[in-house]
Amino acid sequence: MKGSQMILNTLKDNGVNTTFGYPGGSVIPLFDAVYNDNEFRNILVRHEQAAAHAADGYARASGNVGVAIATSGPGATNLVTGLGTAYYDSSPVLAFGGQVSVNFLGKDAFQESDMMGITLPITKHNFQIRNPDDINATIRKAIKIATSRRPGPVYVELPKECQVGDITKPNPKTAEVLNCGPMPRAKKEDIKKLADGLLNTQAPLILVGGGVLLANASGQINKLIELLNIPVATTLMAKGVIPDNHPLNLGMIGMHGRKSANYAIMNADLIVVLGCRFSDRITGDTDAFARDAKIIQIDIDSSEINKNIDIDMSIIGDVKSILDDLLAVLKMKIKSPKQTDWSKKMKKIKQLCCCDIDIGKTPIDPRKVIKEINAAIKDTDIVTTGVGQHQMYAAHFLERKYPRTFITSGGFGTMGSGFPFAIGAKIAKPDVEVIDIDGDGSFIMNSQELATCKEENIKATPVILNNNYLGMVRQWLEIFYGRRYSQVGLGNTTDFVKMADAYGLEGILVEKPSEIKDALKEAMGNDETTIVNIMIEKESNILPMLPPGGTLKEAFGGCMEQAGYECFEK
Amino acid sequence: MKTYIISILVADEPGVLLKLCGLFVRRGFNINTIAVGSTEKKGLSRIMITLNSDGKKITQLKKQLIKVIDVVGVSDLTENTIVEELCLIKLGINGEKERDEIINNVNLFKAKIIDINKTNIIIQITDRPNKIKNFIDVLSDYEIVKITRTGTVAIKDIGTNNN
Ligand SMILES: Cc1ncc(C[n+]2csc(CCOP(=O)(O)OP(=O)(O)O)c2C)c(N)n1
Ligand SMILES: [Mg+2]
Repeated sequence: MKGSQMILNTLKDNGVNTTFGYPGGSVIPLFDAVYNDNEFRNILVRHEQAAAHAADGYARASGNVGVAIATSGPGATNLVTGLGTAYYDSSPVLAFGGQVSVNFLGKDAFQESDMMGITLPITKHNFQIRNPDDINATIRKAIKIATSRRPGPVYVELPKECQVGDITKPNPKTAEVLNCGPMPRAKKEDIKKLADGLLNTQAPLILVGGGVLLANASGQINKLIELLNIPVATTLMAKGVIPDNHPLNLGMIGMHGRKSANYAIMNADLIVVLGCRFSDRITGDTDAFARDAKIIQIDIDSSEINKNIDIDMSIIGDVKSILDDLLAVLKMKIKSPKQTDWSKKMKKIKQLCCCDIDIGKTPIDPRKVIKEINAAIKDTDIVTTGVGQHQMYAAHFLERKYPRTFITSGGFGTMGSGFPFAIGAKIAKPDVEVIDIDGDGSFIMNSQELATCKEENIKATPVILNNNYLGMVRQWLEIFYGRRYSQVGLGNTTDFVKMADAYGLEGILVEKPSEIKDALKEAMGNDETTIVNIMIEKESNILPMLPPGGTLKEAFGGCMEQAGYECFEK
Repeated sequence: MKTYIISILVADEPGVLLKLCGLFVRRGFNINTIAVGSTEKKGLSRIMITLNSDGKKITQLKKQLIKVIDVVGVSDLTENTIVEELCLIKLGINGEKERDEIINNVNLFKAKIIDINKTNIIIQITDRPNKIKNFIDVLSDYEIVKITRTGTVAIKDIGTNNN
């Protein structure tokens, strides 16, 4: 058997039978094996960046590893943005890159690039397979590394020899790899301390990050909230872990966070933080972050402890098993959930912080679009986003109920990721509708994937919030640069309906709020990908927001625009 | 700021040094010395680094290091350790008087003459890094042609627990 077939077999043995890839000289042997293999499907994307994002979208929707393939040199470097995106959001992506033959390595051969060096800071690990007999073990290790503990992308380089050479040895039984085993169980006394902390404070808060989603611990965290009747705030990455409409879910904290959530951070006396790395986008000025609260941090990655924020106590381990242990202890101590003044107040603040988004004005208010999407989709459908204002509108106003139904580039903030994410998510979950809430700027960065959708018969619905601007940057220029709109105007040049038409697909233009509902219905009802291009108010701002370097207290604007935080005190 | 000695036990895989060096650069650590060599265990190498930092940053560095897939263990050898470094120094000799002075210093510092001719001398000193510094200070009165050092290596002293 040739190495290339072994690559496919090893992937199949590990549950992977679909990849996202693009050919070139150094992966011809690999795709030659795909040609003969009826159990294996490669989705031919139109840009390797999209292959990486689609693999990432697949991984985020399913929780399993997503796989991308590119040729050496420019093909492989095109993967880089996608790998960075996956790395910053801890997503289990496995990317294969071709490479020139081993005897050409280091000689600046045609399409040689040092991908081992280039991918180093944006992957969890990387491998180069020189010998076909190492293929099986290496790929098994790569999948284990990508998916275990704190997940992350792994890059595997395939010099030509390993694809064309013959397998001469049987596959090893085990493929051991360091630092990937199950995490040790948390200490009993730490769990007890955590339980006591939660029971003996006046104003406790839970802050949930993307790690809880990655740990598949949504069930546990929801039980904890019910049992303790405790308010909870989330990061962008944790959207969906707790239903958005849960009375105790105060929403997203941070730079564009909801006032209710930021208020809770500023007024809590104990914050239990799970699977959250305290990125600068959520803390604002770190010195002022939750200054009055005791912080207990729970994470699988010990290097996140005291990295950005000094905390009072930490527990290292798998969030899911820690929560199981905590729930067991708490269930013995609590007979029925307590109605505290604090939880009552937070429920009320959540209601106060809910602005009327059913606004019928023309040009269309972006919040109105999100509201209509809420009405059009099912709880199990998946929504992806691009990066910009539309992403933040979705974060605020989109109603999600289940984990892995909201997919967005958080840490890297990669424009153009939304549409290929949606393609990957659709492959992972063919039975649900996948909607990409995108910006007119972001969508264009990977709009070539319309061809992939058409050819491969994949349906993902881009809903473009079209403001003719790079809106998020325009907002900064409006607020902090005296409306000097430098390099943010996109104009109305791109006709997205004609663009769809060029790919043999349908596009729908929406200019009035009353048309949104039908357009969404039509697009979702179609068998093929259909673009919904919604012209929204050009200069709307997503608020509240923090000034750069500001504290959470300094957030301005938003639903309680005039009132500021004092209104919550009444 | 204090000088720390960190010992990193790694699997002997291609690219592992690159992975660690990349980490030092990314996380803003400036390494003073680095020494790499084989160990008592087959397939494992030990990388010994020294750097100036503070306790909090060192804790963070250790946690970042242990996350690297090929890293087997990280230990802090700053306290209670035997610390040694090897240094080779080539000097120019200008006259017999100077030569005698140099040889005198070599003896004082328990260093060793590796090679000598009329115009040059090569000295080897194996000692704690600060003793080596003193030795070089003393020699700076003479014509230093070249200095080359191995970087610090350390091992826990016999009284202390292993690692
Ligand atoms: C690849 C990439 N380039 C640049 C940026 C910087 N950036 C962040 S948001 C944004 C504007 C996004 O515009 P659009 O997609 O139209 O969304 P809108 O903000 O208008 O909703 C830009 C340029 C980025 N995040 N990613
Ligand atoms: Mg825009």
